[in-house]
Amino acid sequence: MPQPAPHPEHDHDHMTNIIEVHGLDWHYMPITADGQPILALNHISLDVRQGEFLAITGPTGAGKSTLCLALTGLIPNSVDGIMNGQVLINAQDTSRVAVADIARHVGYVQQEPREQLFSITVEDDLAFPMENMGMPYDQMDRRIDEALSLVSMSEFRKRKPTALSGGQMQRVAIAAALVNEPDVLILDEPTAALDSAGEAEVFAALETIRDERPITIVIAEQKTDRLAQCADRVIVMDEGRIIEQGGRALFADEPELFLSHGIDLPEACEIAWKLNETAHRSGTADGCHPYRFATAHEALRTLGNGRLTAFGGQPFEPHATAPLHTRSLPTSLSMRPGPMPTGSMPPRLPRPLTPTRSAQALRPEQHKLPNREGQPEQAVNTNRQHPSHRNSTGRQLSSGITISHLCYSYGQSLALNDVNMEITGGMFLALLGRNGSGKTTLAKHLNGLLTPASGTVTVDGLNTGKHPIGALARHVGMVFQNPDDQIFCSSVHDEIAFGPRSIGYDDKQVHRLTDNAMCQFGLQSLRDAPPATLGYGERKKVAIASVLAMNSGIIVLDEPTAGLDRRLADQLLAILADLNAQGVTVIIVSHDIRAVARTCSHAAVLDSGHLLEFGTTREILTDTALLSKAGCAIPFAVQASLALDGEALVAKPYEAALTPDEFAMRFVPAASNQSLPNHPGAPR
Amino acid sequence: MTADLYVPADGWLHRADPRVKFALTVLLLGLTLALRQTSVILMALLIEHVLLMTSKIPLRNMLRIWKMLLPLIVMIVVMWPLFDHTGADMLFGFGPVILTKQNLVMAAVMGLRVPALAFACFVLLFTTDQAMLVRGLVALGVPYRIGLTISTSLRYIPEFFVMFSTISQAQQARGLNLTTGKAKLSRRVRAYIPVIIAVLIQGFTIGENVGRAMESRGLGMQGVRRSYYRQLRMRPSDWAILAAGMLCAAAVAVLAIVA
Repeated sequence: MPQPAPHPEHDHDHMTNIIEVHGLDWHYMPITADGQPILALNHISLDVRQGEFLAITGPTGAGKSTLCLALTGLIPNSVDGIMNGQVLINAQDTSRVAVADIARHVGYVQQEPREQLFSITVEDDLAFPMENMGMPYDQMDRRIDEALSLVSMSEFRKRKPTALSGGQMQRVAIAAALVNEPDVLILDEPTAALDSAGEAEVFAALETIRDERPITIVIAEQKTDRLAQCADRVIVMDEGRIIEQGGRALFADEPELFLSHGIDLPEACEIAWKLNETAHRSGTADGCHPYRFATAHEALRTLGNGRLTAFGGQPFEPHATAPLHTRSLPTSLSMRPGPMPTGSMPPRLPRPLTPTRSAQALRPEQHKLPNREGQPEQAVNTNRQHPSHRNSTGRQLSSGITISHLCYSYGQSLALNDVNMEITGGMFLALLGRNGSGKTTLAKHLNGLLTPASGTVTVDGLNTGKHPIGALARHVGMVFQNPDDQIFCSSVHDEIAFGPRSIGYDDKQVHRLTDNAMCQFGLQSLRDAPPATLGYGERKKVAIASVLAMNSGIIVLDEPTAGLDRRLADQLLAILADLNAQGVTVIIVSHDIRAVARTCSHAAVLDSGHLLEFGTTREILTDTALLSKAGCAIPFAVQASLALDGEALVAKPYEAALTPDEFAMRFVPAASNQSLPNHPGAPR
Repeated sequence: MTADLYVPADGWLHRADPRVKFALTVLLLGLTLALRQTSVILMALLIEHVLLMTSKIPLRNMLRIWKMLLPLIVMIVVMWPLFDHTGADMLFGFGPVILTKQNLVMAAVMGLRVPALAFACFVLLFTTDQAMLVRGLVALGVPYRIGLTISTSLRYIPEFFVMFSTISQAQQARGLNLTTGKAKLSRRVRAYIPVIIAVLIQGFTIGENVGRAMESRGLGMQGVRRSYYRQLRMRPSDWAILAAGMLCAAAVAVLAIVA
């Protein structure tokens, strides 16, 4: 029985509250027989006005997905748990009305597109909700047309969902949620599984929808860059509670709120925050307006007005600066091995690639956000035949990976086309490119999961085509994107011990490696817990720990930061950077261009199976044309550097700042004439 | 790899109502299983090929099926005379191998029965896409929920294969040894257990999420009569095909029994 309509509280524009949440508590039923119910939502009270665009942000595990489920009625009707409080959608109490009836007014879009398109064709998926409502054929036909054109997918009407890209599938899922013309559209991290092109498509579709229909949108998201541009209201959640609410200006006005809860800031806001921080630290803050960039647009405009000047002006070349904290590093330098054996270097680079030497770590005082510009390289013998080195922890370091004329096809389609690459030991390499460009295919060649159709891949002197995967697993550890692909044991400890045991370490060594890995990731308290019952962030840690415990000299990770909040992502990247500092080669496949800018020393860009470029991070990330061509995002710090005007003008794109940290270090307010004391960026 | 055998083309059989095609398939299967006369089996094969070819199914699809079935056909033809020693006109006799004119003919018929049965199914499967197949079943009286289960299974079976392959790769990357080629079957199966566990866990999660997607789109709405986007209407041509099919089947059966 529907409740009578509640009295509207904020009657500013005579708009009613389409959603009202009163004191909502939710406990999930315990997963194990003897466990406790798990608190997910803690006294949530929220009103959503009709037509509003509400963004829900929060770290992994904050309760964003649970709140979304509560707004669809799936909680409490279809999910086991204990509910207190009330959720009213369009004046209907979700605990008294069936999910199907709430579905008349609410459309729901989940993270994973494949799990939402369950019919044989796109058309059938869109027809499904209308069939359930008993709609006549003509009306269905018309609404399918309208919904598909809203998301720009009209040409795909008869296609199978499996033939579409991630972004296309997600747009179809949105269309299917809209086809019943609901009042509210709820999206739970819709772009988590997509590349930057897919993300852009989804947000463009949402904008079109907002223009055409008077619909209320509630979106839970980690990618705050986009939210800063389109949200009307933002709520910040942590540990099941709403910490703060505000307009989209919240990102610019309270950056520390987000960072302290582990949420990623829009990059423009991060730059502003860092600039203000630097100004405060150096005492030049007085007399200057603090920086405040609400949107990327505003940032570019302000920076273009010549308020900043270059301080020192040198781009962060690791050898030019002293490390901020000491660490015992090998002091021997090495040059990259000469031109590749076949003489076929990527044609566009006119100069030999610069060596990376000592590491630079910047640790802002307030936050554990490690930033890295370059990585150390162990003294690596240039002769590839020489056996790989051992360092003090007993790990065998890599002597390098050589990829020569690699070609590979899936059936008829060519996935990799004449790829040539030389990956020296100790590199921190990022593989960039669209979904489908061949990055994961290339990664799978590195440990022999795939063998070349033609060409060779040589890892530590071993030809991958001639050695079994088990032998190569001793040299290369690989972490897949989905942690659930690698989890099957009944306890975290067993899971982590599995890898080292399989490749032949004895019990004592297995014990030591497992304990080390658990300490590194802070998993000791979960030692006996079944991994399958843990949250996503913890499962990801277990999966990565179980591969790191294998103590290999090369580690390959596919999208390691996908689905993780900023804090978890930074923790993970710090562990990888530490490993890299010890000489381990780290290779990541990633869409997270900001993480790549913070941590990697080198990058390779792939497009449709071709290797477009291979070089240092600086070379690649400042080449905006290359990144656009390959469908990669461009770090905003780079864009901001290139937008600078006047004295701060960046002479060559190569000198752009790669991260907000670097930006704030190198560009200071023009008004300040004082020399900043002991500024680490100054090569004086 | 998909679970879809459908061959898209603009043929008359493609356009026919799936219920009629179900009926044709059942008639052909029935005739082929019940009767052993050479003429019946050959007739059935001929009809099936004519139906498919006139409906613009390319020859290579049919040849591919023949190629797949050939080992089985040959095996039956070779083995049959070993077990059937009837027949008056003996051609060759050596120990258990007795070849007579009759049992050779019977061997050929039994061998050809396999493609006759297979192509009876393909008359339906080549010309009907998965959605129409399920829609036809539901129209014939199968409850909607079962039809939904069938179509969802067809949709996700290929994904399971992909998942199995990805998980195998992920586990092998951790050192799981799956290539125990020479070992006993039981050992090989046991080696795959970690993969199977991971597939089951993921499969469960996928199932849960698909279920939520269906519910959030109104599955099971009470008080409403469900409508269907894919429309099925028996047109005059459909009735004609059905009538013709039943008449032919009856005629063949009668002739075979009488002769």
